[in-house]
Amino acid sequence: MGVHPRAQDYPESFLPGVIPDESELTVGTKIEPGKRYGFFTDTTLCIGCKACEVACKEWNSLPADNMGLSGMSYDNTVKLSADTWRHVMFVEKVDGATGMQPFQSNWLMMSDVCKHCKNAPCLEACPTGALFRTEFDTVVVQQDICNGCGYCVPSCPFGVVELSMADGKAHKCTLCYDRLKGGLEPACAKSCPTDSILFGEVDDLVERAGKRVEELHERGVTDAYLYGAPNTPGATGGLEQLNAFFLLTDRPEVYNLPPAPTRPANRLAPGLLAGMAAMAGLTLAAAAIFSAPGEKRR
Amino acid sequence: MPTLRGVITVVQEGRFRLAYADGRSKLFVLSSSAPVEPQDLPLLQRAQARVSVRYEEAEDLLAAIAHDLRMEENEGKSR
Repeated sequence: MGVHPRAQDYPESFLPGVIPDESELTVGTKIEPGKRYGFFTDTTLCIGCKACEVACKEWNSLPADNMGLSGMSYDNTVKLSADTWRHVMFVEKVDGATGMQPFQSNWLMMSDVCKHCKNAPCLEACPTGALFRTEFDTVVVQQDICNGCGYCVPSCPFGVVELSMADGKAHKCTLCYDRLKGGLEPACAKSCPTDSILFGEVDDLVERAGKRVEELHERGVTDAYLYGAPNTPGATGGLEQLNAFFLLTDRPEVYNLPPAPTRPANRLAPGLLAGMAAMAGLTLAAAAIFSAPGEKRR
Repeated sequence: MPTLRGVITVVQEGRFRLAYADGRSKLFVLSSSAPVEPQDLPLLQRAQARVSVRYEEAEDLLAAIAHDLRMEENEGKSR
């Protein structure tokens, strides 16, 4: 990959200030309000270095949590939480079905993150408006408005949002909202040494991801597929599209992702109708009992 | 509850890093019971004001929970 022409404007190592629109140099995307930005995470490139986890914690001043060893392979972060917005998952396949030599395991690694859904259920569930959609089409919690009701927690089909026990408020990935406003790509994507995490405009990323799948199929990795791109697994149940989508090589459940996530709002009308039907039935039954002749009631 | 005095150097949402006089620093999470809100923290950080923080250590977190945060009253005299 050649050097971006703008990079030639900055030959010195020490700069007087922040480079304007730095993301144009680091990832080839100029960040502008009104456009849709997200992540494409290619799990075939992930080496499990956890640089994204560290960069996320460092930039967002998130405290280390879950101290100690989990016993889950090299995965000691365990899950996404209020204090862990990037989680590198280690899936160790030792069943011999992978074509590896005996006593050698095949690793699947994936850096999980908030999906910033196109139809975000957490945002739909928030009664205070603390969760909002930004000018970059990402979903962010405003900490000064969040009252800690926790409705967003069960509404997320991916289990991303969590209430912090320290301050009682909901926390999740902001896709580095402050960095985007400053023209910087998110910390996790910038720190990824293998470009497993790519940041950019969602439509460009989807196109790029499609080409990557085709390339992998040609190279014999026929089980590669996209999760969360339009009309793929993960973009189901009214979610339509995940702004942070993935390239996987095994079933979604293996990566602890739901095979067919849905918006809880889809179940609102059927649930309401079922409740109303039950109430109507009970009312009719009560009316039938109390309108019966007096002799029979005795 | 212990108290620390220092200057807020980094703020993210309701989290902030307090640097003490000897150069060490500590990460805090602002409790919902604190008299200040997350939106007040950037102002304190920009002002580089000396503040005192009353806190307790958080369970299973490498951070402390700040229950009280006040500007030092004798800031002008100490400088």
